[in-house]
Amino acid sequence: MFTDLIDYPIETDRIDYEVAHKLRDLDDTPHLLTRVKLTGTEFPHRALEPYVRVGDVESRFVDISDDGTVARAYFDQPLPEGGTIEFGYGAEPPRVRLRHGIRLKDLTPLDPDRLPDDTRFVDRFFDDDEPIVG
Amino acid sequence: MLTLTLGGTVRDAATGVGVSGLFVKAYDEDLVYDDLLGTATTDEDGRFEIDCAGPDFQEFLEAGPEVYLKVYGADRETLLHESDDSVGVDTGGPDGEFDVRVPHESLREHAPDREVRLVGKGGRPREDYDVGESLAVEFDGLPPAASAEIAVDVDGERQFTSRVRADADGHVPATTVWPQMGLESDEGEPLTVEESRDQWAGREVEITVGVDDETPFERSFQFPDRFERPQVLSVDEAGRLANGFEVGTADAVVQGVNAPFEGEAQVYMVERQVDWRPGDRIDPVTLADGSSAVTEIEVEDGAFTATVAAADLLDPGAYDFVVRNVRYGYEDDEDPRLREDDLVTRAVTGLVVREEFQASKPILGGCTNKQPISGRKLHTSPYFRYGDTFQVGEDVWAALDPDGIDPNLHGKMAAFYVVENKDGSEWSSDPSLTHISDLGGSSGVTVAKTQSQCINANAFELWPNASRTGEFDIVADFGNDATDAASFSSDGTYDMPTDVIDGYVAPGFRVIEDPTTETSYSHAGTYEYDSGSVDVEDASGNEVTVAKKAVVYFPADAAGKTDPSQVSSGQSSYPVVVVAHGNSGYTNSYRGYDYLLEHLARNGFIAASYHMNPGMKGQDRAELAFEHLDELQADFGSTMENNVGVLGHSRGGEAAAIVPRLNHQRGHGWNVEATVSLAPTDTYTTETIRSPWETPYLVVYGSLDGDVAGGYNSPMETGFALYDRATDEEKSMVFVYGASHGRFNTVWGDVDLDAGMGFTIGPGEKAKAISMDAHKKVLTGYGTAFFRRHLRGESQFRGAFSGEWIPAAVEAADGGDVDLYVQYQDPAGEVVDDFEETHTPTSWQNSAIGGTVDHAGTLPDDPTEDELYDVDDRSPHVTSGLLLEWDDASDELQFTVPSGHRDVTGYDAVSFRVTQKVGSPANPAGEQDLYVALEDGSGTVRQTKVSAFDAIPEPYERYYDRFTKSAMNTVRVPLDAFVIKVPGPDAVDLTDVREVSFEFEREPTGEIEIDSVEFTD
Repeated sequence: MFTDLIDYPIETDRIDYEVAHKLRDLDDTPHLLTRVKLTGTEFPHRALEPYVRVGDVESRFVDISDDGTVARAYFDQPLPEGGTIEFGYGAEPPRVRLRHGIRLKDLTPLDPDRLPDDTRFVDRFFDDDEPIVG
Repeated sequence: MLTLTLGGTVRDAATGVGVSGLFVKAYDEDLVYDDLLGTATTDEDGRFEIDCAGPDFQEFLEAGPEVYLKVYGADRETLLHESDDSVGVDTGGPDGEFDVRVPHESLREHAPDREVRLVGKGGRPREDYDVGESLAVEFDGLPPAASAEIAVDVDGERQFTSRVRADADGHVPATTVWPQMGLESDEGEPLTVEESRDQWAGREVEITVGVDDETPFERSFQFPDRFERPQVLSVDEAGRLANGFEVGTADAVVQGVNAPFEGEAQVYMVERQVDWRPGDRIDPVTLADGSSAVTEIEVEDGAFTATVAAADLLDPGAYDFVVRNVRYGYEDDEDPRLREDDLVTRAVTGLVVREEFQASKPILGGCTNKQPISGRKLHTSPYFRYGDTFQVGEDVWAALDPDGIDPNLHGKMAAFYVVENKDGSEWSSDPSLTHISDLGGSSGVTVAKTQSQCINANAFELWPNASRTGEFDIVADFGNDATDAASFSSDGTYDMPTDVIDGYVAPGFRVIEDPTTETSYSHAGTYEYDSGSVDVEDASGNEVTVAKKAVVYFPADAAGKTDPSQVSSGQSSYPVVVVAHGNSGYTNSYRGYDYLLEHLARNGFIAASYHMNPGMKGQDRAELAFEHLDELQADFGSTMENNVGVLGHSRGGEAAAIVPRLNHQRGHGWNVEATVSLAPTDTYTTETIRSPWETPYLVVYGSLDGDVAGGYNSPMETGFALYDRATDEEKSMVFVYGASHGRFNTVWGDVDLDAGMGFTIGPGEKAKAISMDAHKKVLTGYGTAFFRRHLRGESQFRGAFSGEWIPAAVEAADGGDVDLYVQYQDPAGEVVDDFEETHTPTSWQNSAIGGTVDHAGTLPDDPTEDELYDVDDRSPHVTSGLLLEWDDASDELQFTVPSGHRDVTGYDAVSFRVTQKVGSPANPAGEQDLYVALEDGSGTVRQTKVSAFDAIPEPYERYYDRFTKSAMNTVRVPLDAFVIKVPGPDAVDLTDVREVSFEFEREPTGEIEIDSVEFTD
């Protein structure tokens, strides 16, 4: 209804995000990924695959909760500090864009000593001299 | 060409169970050579159908075949059985149906096996058990409804016996016979798990199952000397089993043994459910301090002990524990759904925290053990739910929750009687127990040991395939108070306070002809008409031209009837129901009620849904009803009665409320005897059902309506307003939690849920709507019952509209998750107060009946009497009421009854409408509760708990606050509750009731609105 009158992407600060490092088993091996969780609107389940972009970096995959209120995007690459967060589907342009860029200072890193021995670290997540950020 | 279908079932004659995979040949017996009519293979239920054509059997002078059957094995060559005589099949009547009973021995390898299995978690077969696990058995191949006796011996010494009953298929589902084996000593004292393991190691358990006089089945196993499987138990501080105690007396402590993981884990305390399966949601309960019942633990060598909640944080309730291995950093471990590798207290409730014994009673200070026992098994979580209404043919289950019985009775033997319902005075004068003959009389009574302090193991199939309508009570008779079967005997009497009853003041359960599913006509004929166009005038005087078309359904005796002249001859004439749809962009909206129309036709109505143009208003929609009634009259002639029901949806719902007025004012001459408004608009705000055009009235409305959502106007223009304004006739309103606007119409579907996104429907709300199937059942059940009651005079459905029961199919819809609340008013009731007098700051002190209203200074503030929408902007009502708040258990509100009104023996109940005020911090999370008390002239007072009979529910919370409503529900407390004989408070003299009062000692604080305090039928 009236959706033809809307200009996309909708810029908003009504969508919240949380960023964290999380382990996910991919190919039976734990992978350390960066998860960006979005809430604050409905993310419809569609035939097209959803995506989240932070700056130029696109998610490896996105899980949408059953009720459509939470979108969890998983990245296997470092994220750019201040990168714009956008959500969309398939090859479509993004539907929404968060007004403010991502703050990676909000990310609490995991203790590498407590991770499983066979954890796959994505390049540059762990730098010898720098803390674990994007 | 004449065709014939021969159908039937091949059964094992010994058990009556259908036999699958057999090859059936049907023959026509002739003088010389018999004709093979056809063949078929029996399905999994033993059924077969053979279609044959006329030339197969029609010979000279032979109109119909003389049929006999031959039954072969799966090889199609081995003849197992031949029917003794041929049966003449009348080709002019119903096709042949055969019940073939093959002697058990003739079936050979095809005979259904009689099987007894020991089972464990998830119903999987087991060979042995650890101490602490629960012994369960499952049966197949028994004679239908057969009684089986289970005896359990340990080292040759009889422990107990139980009796179970097979269902119509000869199956007894997994039934726990010995919960949490070995966690008590031989003397019945609780043990620690280590003590149990040591004490029971090596001991042999023998299970013997006897069915009729046949050779019993036997199984046995030995307890191992170590734990083979993980277990989770609720224990006391010493580590002994303690899974039930009174609130405030103990902490919730959980212990685990043999866990298959080490390291970090979390324990979740969740609401009990009868069964747990992977994928079920895990929602930790909220403790009294608002925290979530989740505890982190460390598992070492497979063992752990942890306190999940301190005694002062535990609320009364029944809980299970889920233990999950948590891996550092893994998000999957936060998934609130049960996983295969989670540990959970299964088969037996983890923990029951009981109310203070007396506070749990329906009658304050009285020891009537009235509690729900009847219920149904569900295919989805929570797998068992208490219920009171069952369809004919449905399985009635029972589960005795020991919460509320004398703790001294835990672990005692009980005999479960199903008896014909008796009212309070009948129970008082005759407490004898006569088990109904449908279940074998007193020799068929199920005898079982009540689970010590837990409920889950007490669930069993009480009445498979309930075959007879009626009202029934269930009594758990503890007889001679024995703990073992050998010495137990039932005394066949309901003894207060010991025995537990589901019933007494209201039937324990009912078996009904469910209006949602039952039909009396085998078929429904249907046709459409399109008779040109008609002009109608709306309220503003605008003329609207609309095609005069409709779809019509009518009772029929066979399939394929498409002409009104083919209406069934079962009756000489039929009442008629017309349906008016609402506004929509769809031009075929009128076809969205076909499911209802067909059902009404098969219940003996002519039912039609007529077309209207998009944009038409309520008045024009009402005008059209008469055009279509005339059309139907012309079509059906004398087979259509002048006995009319009207149902409208949305703008059509408001139109339905206008039809009686127009019918009266314009002299249309129709007898409109029943009116239903479904999710109606209230655009005109003045339409009402009242004298001289009063009719019985029903409003149905959903809490998740995304179209007529209310919330923007005051008063809100929803079905509540139409209901409140209706007067001078019996009226009801069914408020369905989770129902939308459009899902009642199969063409509309989710139009309001989708279109309302961002306006009336918030993120995630659509997912909370009940299913379309549930919507259809609500409308079919209540609509059919309403029209059958008022157009066909079938009084047995009255209880559905007074809120006493819910149609069984509605109660079971969506896994039992449909909550609905009924308002009801009978104009013949005695109104104590309706708060409609001129409002002043002190007007609340005088009641409509001429008595006084007082709180004796107990309430923190005087109540406010006013239009409810003026004192609460969330009230959807158009009525005056009383807003009040309490903050102490001693608070009360009293209504005196003046002389001339004190004899209430002619009524069945004291009732009132009530709602929690939306947003008030004084109300608890969940339901509110209070006592209703009556006092007689001698000063005798008896207080009855509202929650024992009805609910003051939590308002349905909408995403956007403005749509959350302080919607009233009618609470009915049977007057029998004030007179039944109990040890404790005396009976109230109902010929001399001096005072009705609300006493607020159930919850420490509350803020509610009340209306319509009355004595009623």
